[in-house]
Amino acid sequence: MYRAMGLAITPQTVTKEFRDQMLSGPMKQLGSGAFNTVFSAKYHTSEGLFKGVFKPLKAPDQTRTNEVETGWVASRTGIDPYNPQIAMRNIATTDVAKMLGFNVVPRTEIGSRTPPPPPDNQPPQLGLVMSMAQGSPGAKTHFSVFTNPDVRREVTKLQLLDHLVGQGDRHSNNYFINVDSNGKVTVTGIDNDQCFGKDLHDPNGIAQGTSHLNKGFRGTRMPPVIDTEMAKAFEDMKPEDLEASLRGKLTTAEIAAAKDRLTGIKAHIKDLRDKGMIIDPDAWGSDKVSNALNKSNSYVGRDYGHAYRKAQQQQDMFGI
Amino acid sequence: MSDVTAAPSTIERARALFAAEQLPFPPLSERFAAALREENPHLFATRSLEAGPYNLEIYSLEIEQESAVPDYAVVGFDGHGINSWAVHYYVVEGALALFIQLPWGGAYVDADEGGRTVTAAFTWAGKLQADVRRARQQGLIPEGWRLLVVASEFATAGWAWVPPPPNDPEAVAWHDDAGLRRAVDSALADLFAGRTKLPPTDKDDRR
Repeated sequence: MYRAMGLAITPQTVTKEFRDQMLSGPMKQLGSGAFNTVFSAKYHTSEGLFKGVFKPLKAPDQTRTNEVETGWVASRTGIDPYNPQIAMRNIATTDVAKMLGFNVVPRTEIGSRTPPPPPDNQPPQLGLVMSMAQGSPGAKTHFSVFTNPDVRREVTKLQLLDHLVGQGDRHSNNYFINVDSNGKVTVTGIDNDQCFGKDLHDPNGIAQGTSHLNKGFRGTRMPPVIDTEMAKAFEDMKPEDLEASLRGKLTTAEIAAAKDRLTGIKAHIKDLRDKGMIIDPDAWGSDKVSNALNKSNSYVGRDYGHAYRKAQQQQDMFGI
Repeated sequence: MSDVTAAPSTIERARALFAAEQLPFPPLSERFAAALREENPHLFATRSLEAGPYNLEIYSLEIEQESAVPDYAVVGFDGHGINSWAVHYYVVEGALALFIQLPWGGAYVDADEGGRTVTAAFTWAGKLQADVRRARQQGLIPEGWRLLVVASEFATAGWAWVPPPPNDPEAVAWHDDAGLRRAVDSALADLFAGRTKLPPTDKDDRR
């Protein structure tokens, strides 16, 4: 099963809790089964009932004739189109987020599933299991939410993570914002697979540009303001620790590119420090932040602007 | 007598794909319908695609920067991950370059809401194509000019009048205010009312 999927057997890829025996009931298909097969699943885990999604893995093309990954970002950043290792990229993103102490991506592990009949006796399939994101996608979030200091802080954490992992497709439909009844904010970035390309060395390389070389990226340049906790998380991260975390999941060249991006982020943080743009974690509601964020340098600025313009024209049903 | 049933044509397969998704099929001219080829079971196009249409920006940039992009159409579904999936309808025909990319097929997409938006978008697309053809027939859109419209929730939505090649991409005035449909309808209304005049090209002058 692992060999067919081109997936290395490591302590992190061996299925643990996300197996048929741990399901609390049958999986239910989400979305369209025709071209994007995803199931909702509930598992009994050591941490209690886990609500997540299961996406079957695609096998690599060992003959290297048919591209498994056809995305522009993947191609541009050097991800192998025949063996893109989507699961490993998702898992590596989760690990790097943990290293930083940024709770902005879902718990992600490998699971297995035996498809129900018909036909009978189908072999089990491996898949990526991710916790269900809560809240609404950025694209459907009211502009006022983007002025919430905690939302600004958490979305900026996701943005910084994306600069480090080289995530080139962060649009406003693949991150979710949840503000619970107590005001606690959770931001969750999903679809963390267009990342860790070996050819992306610059953390600003995920920013959308205006030429055929960069127009297909959907990120922004690095944020013009961060807080002291974010700065510390990056300043404390050693390149060798990042390498150790990624070893066994990514290629040597992909790890080298990640280390280059870390160097770039550290340099950016130094620059922000010199400019006095590293703020206290409780200062995200300040005018200094509001004035600094724009559509070119932050997800917050980009998606606030979009949400604001959308709110002005609610009567236009096709108001994109 | 043979009871062999003819295999469905490419356009029939494309229509069946949309029907299976319970979505309307977008307006496609007869010449595009006849020229459609299957890229994969979920994607059809009348040209070769260097990248999946999910990366819409590559195709809209081509209209802005490349010289004389031939007419083509793309219909189908493309994306990645669990929620980054969209229905795609690209039609570059005559004076219109329309790129529609709307959420569909993602694990978190509300099918009812998504279906309504797609239906509204395709209905509008048909009217837009007719209006642009009429404007071209009336000589209001000079030879070589194209109305570029990007209707997407993944890429930056907006519209622009793109002058004939060779054009300076910096000279293309991109409008990305929300309320795309109304903005584009207003732009065409301004053209029909004579409030907007697109400068003629040499080619038009010779006629």
